Amino acid sequence: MSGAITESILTIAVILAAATTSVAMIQSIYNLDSTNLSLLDTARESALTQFKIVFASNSSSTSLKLWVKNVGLREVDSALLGRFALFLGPRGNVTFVPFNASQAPSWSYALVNDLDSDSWVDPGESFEISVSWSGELPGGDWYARLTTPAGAVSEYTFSLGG
Amino acid sequence: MGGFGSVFAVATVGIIIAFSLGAFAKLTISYMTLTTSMPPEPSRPHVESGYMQDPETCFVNITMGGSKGLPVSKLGLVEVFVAYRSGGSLLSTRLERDSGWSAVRVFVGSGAGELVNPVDLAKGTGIWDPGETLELKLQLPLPSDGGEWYFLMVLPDGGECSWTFS
Repeated sequence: MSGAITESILTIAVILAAATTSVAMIQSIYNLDSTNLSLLDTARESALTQFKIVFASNSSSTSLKLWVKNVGLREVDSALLGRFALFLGPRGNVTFVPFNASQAPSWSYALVNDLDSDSWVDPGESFEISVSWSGELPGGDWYARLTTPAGAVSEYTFSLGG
Repeated sequence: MGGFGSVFAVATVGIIIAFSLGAFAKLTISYMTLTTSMPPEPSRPHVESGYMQDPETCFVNITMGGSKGLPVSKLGLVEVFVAYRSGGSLLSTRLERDSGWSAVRVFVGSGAGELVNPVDLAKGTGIWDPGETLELKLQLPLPSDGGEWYFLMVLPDGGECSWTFS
């Protein structure tokens, strides 16, 4: 009789242990799966919206221009371009340049080849960034970094002067 | 009773394995989706030759490399930049299509015409295929002082080529 009770207790213990373990493991797998899917979605979004700074030059002694091309697979509403983050400056003095700020430094944009005139930057289309710099543009090597809201980054190095 | 416990334990392990496989399958599908979302490799054009006809007019020959071509209908998405000296100062600028640059012809080797996806620039049809050379005419906004000049062409997919002529 006591043997049967012991066996029953052990069986219940095994069932409880197995149930607890399975719940914990399934929960862990689910969390891992969700995290990975979230990371993959972010990476996918970033891959779809790729922009590339293709050229830069000064347009006056206090302003310069950068040309940026959409080399991704997704079109972007030009109204969202103001959310891009631009970091620019001579090497060693790179600074964040706000969009449409009331005082320099500041940047604005214009679409340069919106072939279908839909005000969206379609894949292959470009836009021009005009930067008003605070003071004379110092010569030498410059660095530009443009980051999209999705996290895609384009970096560009160029020289002024000469 | 003991048999039931074993069966339950085995079933539990089976459920865990099934869940794991399901999660792994989902991850694999996501990675495959990510891979297909990546933009394809950009085109690989390269500058073949170029010359300045007069202080305001240049010609450049660009040959398409790599394995994919560019539909002529997408030439409007091509960006052309030049840098040169004018009036003693350095001028770097983007050229507008038509007023600043235009495609003159597409040819293969030294012969005129081409067999694969023939290009009709007037109609905007055909494909600038790998191995074919596109001749561009550049109209500079200000006359060049002569000497070195720089040319950069960027295709819609980000493929680019540049050259400094002297």
